[in-house]
Amino acid sequence: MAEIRIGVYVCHCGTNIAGVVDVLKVVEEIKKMKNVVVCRNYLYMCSDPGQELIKKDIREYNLNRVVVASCSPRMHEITFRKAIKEAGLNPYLLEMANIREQDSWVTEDKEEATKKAISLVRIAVLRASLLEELYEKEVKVIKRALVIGGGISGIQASLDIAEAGYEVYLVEKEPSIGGHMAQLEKTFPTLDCAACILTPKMVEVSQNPNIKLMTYCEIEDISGFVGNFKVKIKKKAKYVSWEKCISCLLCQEKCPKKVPSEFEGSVGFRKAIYIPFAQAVPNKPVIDSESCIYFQTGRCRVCEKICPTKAINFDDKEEYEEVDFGAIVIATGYDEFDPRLKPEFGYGRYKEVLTGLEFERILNAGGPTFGEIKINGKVPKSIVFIHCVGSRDEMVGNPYCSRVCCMYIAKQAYLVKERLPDCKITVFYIDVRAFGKGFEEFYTRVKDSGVIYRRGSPSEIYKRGDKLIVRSEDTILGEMVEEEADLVVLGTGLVPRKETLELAKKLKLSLSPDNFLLEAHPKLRPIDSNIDGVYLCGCCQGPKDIPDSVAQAKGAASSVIALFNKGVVTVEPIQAYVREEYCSGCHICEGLCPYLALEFDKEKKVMRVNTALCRGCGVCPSACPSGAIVMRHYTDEQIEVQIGGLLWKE
Amino acid sequence: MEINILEEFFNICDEKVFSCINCGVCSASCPISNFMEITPQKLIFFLINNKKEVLEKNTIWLCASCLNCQARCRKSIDFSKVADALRHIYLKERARKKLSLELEIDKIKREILIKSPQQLFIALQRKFAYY
Amino acid sequence: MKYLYYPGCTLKTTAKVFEDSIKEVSKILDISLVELNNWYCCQAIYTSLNDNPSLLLGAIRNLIETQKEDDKLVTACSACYNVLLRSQNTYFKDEKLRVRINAYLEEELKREIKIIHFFELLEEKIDVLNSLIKKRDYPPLAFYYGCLLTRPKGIALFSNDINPQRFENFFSQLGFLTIDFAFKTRCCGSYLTYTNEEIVKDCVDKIILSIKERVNNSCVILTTCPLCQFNLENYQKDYEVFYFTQFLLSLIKGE
Ligand SMILES: Cc1cc2nc3c(=O)[nH]c(=O)nc-3n(C[C@H](O)[C@H](O)[C@H](O)COP(=O)(O)OP(=O)(O)OC[C@H]3O[C@@H](n4cnc5c(N)ncnc54)[C@H](O)[C@@H]3O)c2cc1C
Ligand code: SF4
Ligand code: SF4
Repeated sequence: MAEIRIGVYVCHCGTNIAGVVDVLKVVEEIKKMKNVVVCRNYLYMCSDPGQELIKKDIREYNLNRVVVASCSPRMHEITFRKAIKEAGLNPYLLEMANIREQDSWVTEDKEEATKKAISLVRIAVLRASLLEELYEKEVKVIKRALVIGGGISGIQASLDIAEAGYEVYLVEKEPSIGGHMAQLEKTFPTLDCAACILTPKMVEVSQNPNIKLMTYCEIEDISGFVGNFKVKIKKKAKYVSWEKCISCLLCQEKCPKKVPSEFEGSVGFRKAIYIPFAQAVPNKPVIDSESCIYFQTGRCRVCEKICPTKAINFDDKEEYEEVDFGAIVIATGYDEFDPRLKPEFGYGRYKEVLTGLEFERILNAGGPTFGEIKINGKVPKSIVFIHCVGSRDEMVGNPYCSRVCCMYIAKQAYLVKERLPDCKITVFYIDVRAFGKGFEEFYTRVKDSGVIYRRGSPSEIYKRGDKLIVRSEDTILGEMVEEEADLVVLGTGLVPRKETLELAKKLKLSLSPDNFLLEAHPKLRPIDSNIDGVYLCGCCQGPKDIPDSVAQAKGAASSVIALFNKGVVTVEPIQAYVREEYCSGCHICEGLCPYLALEFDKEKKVMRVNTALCRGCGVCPSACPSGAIVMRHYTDEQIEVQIGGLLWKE
Repeated sequence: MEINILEEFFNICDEKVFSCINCGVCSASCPISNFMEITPQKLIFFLINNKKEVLEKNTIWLCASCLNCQARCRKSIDFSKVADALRHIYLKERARKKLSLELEIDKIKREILIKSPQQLFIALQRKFAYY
Repeated sequence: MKYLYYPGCTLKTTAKVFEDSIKEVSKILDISLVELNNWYCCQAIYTSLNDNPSLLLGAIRNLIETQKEDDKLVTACSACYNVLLRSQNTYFKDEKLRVRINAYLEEELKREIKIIHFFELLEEKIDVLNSLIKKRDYPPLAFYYGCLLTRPKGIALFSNDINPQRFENFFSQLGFLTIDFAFKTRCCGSYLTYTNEEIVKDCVDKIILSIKERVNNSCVILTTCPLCQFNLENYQKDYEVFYFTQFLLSLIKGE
């Protein structure tokens, strides 16, 4: 073997490291080690001059291993690998010692910190001498994208990817795309009508030849990795042949069964055979077998008789389709908080208490009251809005702010004021968060219109006569308020969807503490998920308004397009391999691999690692009783020498 | 009284009063707050600003520990524990200065005293006693 | 079934009717209640201060007495229920305080005692009760839960502490109409009776008002707590107020 020649670089990270760790002392100690040819310190190793320094040394001193002691490898491993590659070294001959997150940031005592830094760098040097050259492989990307969820985010992402010329499958679990935005009346802060800006996009989706729209479908199973995902899509039984259906909707008109509508909330109804709303895309009905009289009692079939094209098919079965994709965009959105979890507000007990989305429907011309603001058939004389219902509330486990309720309440209050100038409108708030572009200006406009804002969080809603009483403290006046109202609108917050949690399990996506999907980095990678090739957009990643959802959707789409344009992905060579001569074929490892990457070679009677699937998690080598499996870049010897180094005493 | 009220408070109580956002749901849910000189929410605000006047307000004596506010507080603060602690600080100060208690048992109506449940009386004593 | 039973001081004196009805109902239902040996006062209110272990002693001593014979303890008074439960909770959760409490005790509390409210025993016997009840033409029932049974959130008897439904479900299974009113868990004013009667009057007024908005004519208010019973009886005359066991007994007797 050629002589090992190591260069060690200790970073100050400004004062992040050097403020606590005595960097010069570290350099001095490490210089004494065997195989260390140069050891230097520098203010910012990751900067251009820092990287140049390493490159120059590699050439000058003929280095064949490099150790950088700085921040976490998550930050800059890729940076330094690239640097040494440019200087002609194999990038896997780099080793990093994390003396920032694991040392200077968490150790107060300077002497302790310096000692710890020395040991960390020392074991990095020991390990570096055992590193081997590894070569990355390139895998072809399947240039077809899957978008899950057809709200505004999913719609926008699909349109952008399709526009770039790539094929897109848009999978939506409901009979129509549109999501929550389709339920809204006008949108803050500009008050443009939601339907007017959404419907054209929905139609565009249905007409774009690159988009395969799959409504009333669900994701059954996902496996694979970036560039090569295998997805099984479940098509739910619709009981209506959409090829034959001409959207006359006679069936919906004649169906005798009325049930509460998911789209209208508690304020409206739909039939058992239905399209969710008038502008639905596709504009074709489905039968909900759980409420259909025929499915429940064996009699009825009215729709079948009335359909002019014989499109109804009661024998329809669910079907499955398996498709390969190169990338996935998750756009599954949010659920509205269920105010029954705050029983003090009497939602469910009093029908004059509505959620935010229900009130959007009351305001909407397509809604149950055709846009007339009425409750129990009467025009309300006073309305109370309540902020932060189910948000900023540890009692229901949602400590976060939902970000849209302040503004949608302002919007709704304003719309009421426009239509019913004499209606008394009181808003109970804790803080008004008008942080977006044009939001504060809009809030001022709403206040100027005569909407009364009182600071306080109501504790109770009860009835006196036929009036609702909202009890709160006005914390500015310091007095108790019992505000009478004909109608109360709860500013219900946004919560993660249950279905998204299931999807996250299937895909092994990480969740943030609030149970929304977790982005790869809160600042620098807000759209990537923890899985390569899976991108997040819209409210599944956290509460946000429409402009932010669309911006994220466009970001997700461009990530997909960039990936497809490149056409290949490199697979990290940090993978397991089986030393066939040691493998006894005991199968122990097989069931443990979370990525199903281990296959049994029947002829040789040994295990084999499928390099397309192995993610280098390290489970199998530690489980193999005969030590037959080796993890590249993390071999037993490489790990043992580190442990030995840590235990070493002067 | 020359005491640092916050310091005394944290000696005997670990309610996280600093996380209060002054939303006032405690005051609103309190069945007694109409009778209080300052509402629970305001009292907490006084306390975190280290105002020892909190000891002089009837609020700490009127709180009946019914926990209606605890069940609603968005920040999981239990106001009854705050009132409890402040009462004790007050009583301790008086005991230190050898002042007698303000509660005069004789003033309680006889017919109530006779009919009322035992537990009431014990509870009352507990509230006014310094241990 | 045999259970250890903790009456508490009030049930032995001013709330004697409550205890009598409990005893009679349990006899009819074949539940044998054996009074705990050497029981003490539970100390009536749970004190939250973290610097004084003596405040929890009463409750813990009773539980230690219990552990000599059984690992369950039945009680019916809301205050005793609340104090026993919370004191035990603190004893096992706060290690530092536990050590200090133990310094006062000859014996430690070794395991958690299951504290059962008498109502829970009745729930198990609902079918027998159903067959025993003679009279059902009663006005609707307003069950007043009060604060002690429902809070603090998380450890008390009722999972939904703001709008609990357990008693309502129980009585509707027995064939009665129940009233779902907003202030069923609001405080009755508690011991302010002694010092600030006007406040208790106000509290009771509000509770009654919230019942009134849900009923047309008459109704019967049921309680489980001598304190609530006292305040509700004393400061309003619109509705009759009974302990829930007292009421059940009259149904069984057909009075
Ligand atoms: C009352 C109210 C008023 C609002 N008003 C405004 C406003 O005026 N202006 C504004 O900017 N914002 C407003 N918002 C916020 C706005 O609704 C959201 O920003 C926007 O709808 C987010 O879109 P989305 O596509 O991310 O999620 P969604 O609209 O929730 O769409 C998600 C879609 O994915 C589908 N889906 C979910 N899970 C699956 C699955 N597992 N498989 C397949 N499909 C799935 C769903 O059926 C749905 O169609 C308001 C919100 C509320 C509650
Ligand atoms: S957006 Fe406003 S109303 Fe909604 S949770 Fe945040 S602060 Fe409360
Ligand atoms: S309810 Fe909680 S957060 Fe709100 S004011 Fe009271 S103590 Fe503060």
